[in-house]
Amino acid sequence: MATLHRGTREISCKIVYYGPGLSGKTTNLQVVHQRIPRDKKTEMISLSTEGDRTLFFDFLPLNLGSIQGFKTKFQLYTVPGQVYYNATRKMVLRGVDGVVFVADSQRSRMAENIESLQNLRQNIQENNLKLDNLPLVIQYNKRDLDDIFSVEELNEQLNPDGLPWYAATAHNGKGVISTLKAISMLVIEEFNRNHGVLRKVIKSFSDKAESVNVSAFKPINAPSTSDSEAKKDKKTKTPMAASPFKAPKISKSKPSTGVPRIGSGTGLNTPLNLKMPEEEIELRPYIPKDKDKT
Amino acid sequence: MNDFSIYAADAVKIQALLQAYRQSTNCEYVLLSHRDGAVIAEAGEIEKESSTLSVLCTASFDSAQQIGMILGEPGFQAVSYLGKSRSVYISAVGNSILLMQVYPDDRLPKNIDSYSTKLVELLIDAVPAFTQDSSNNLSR
Repeated sequence: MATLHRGTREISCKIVYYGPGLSGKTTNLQVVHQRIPRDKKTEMISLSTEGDRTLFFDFLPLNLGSIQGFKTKFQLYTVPGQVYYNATRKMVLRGVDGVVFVADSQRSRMAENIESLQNLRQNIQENNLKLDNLPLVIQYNKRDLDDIFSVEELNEQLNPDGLPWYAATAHNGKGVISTLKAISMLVIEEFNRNHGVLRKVIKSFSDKAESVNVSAFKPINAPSTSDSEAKKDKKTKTPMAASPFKAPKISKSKPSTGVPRIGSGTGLNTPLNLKMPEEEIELRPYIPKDKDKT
Repeated sequence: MNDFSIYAADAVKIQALLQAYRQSTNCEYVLLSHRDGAVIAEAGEIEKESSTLSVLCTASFDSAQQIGMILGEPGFQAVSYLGKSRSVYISAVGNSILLMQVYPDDRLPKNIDSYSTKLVELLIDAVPAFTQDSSNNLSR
């Protein structure tokens, strides 16, 4: 679920790196953080344990160009891979726009990959989404290790539907940016596709208000008359301490609900031009900021 | 896809309310963010990246909700943090929005619950879409 802010002219999209523990999700974000130009990124946040295992999530905000005057902000998240952090994974997945599944290529880790993929599907469903409808890219990481599956074998077991996949060695940066480019483009395509469709519906709604059924786009919890009355009732019954806050007078000429709130503005069909550094650049090991000081 | 959209006209209303609130309550910084981590509006100055604060605000509130569930309390409406020179109050606005307030003190204003409730009501009156649960994609 992207957030479209017409006031600040920003589109905000959420991409989550998912996968089993120690598959390289955090390493992916660390590499992106190192390689994205300074003007396109801010600080990376890691909520991790003493042993540098992800406890809650890693977070990296990126500014990646604009579409029709709207700045695009991508928020990259990882989740903790360990099985017992499922509640956290579910929270981080809320409102996700695209997923990168980081699989470990080692033969000994296939069971964990499969379990994590099943867990992703389940958690997505519990967030009222369907994995099949969501932009998803698979990354086969740790390609430099011994005793790994071939990509054909990995595709057979983890990617029967032929989703986009990338081979990677995240710790030296290989495949990381290609993966990010692919998921970013898929998310933007999905955004454009949905907004394009919705614009048509909205246009036909305004052109032929009586003949088009727009009930599917009615705000889910828009207050009804009875709700408003109940609210007024509640206001009169609930005592409240005097507040020094005097609200400014605001014109109510333009209703905020009752019409679809999606995609009714300028066209957003221009493809995003993502300018990212080239692949195959050898990287320095990532040093977390706090360890720099010691 | 149920993307969450903020109209420019609504953004102006929100900004006016946040500014007025900040001036009335001596709040250093106030941030309105979507539960998915996106910044909706902010007022005041703080030397931090707002999107990072927004995401951490969401994480903090979600953690409190999980604590509540473990304790059999499914609906914490607000969480607060008291520091030596700054205090923070985070509350829910409808189903999908969070309001974070930062005060330059080691304690929060005495009636912050009431002030905050008043602001939340005004925000919902100004932008009724805040009552939508847009953090879940129910249309799929």
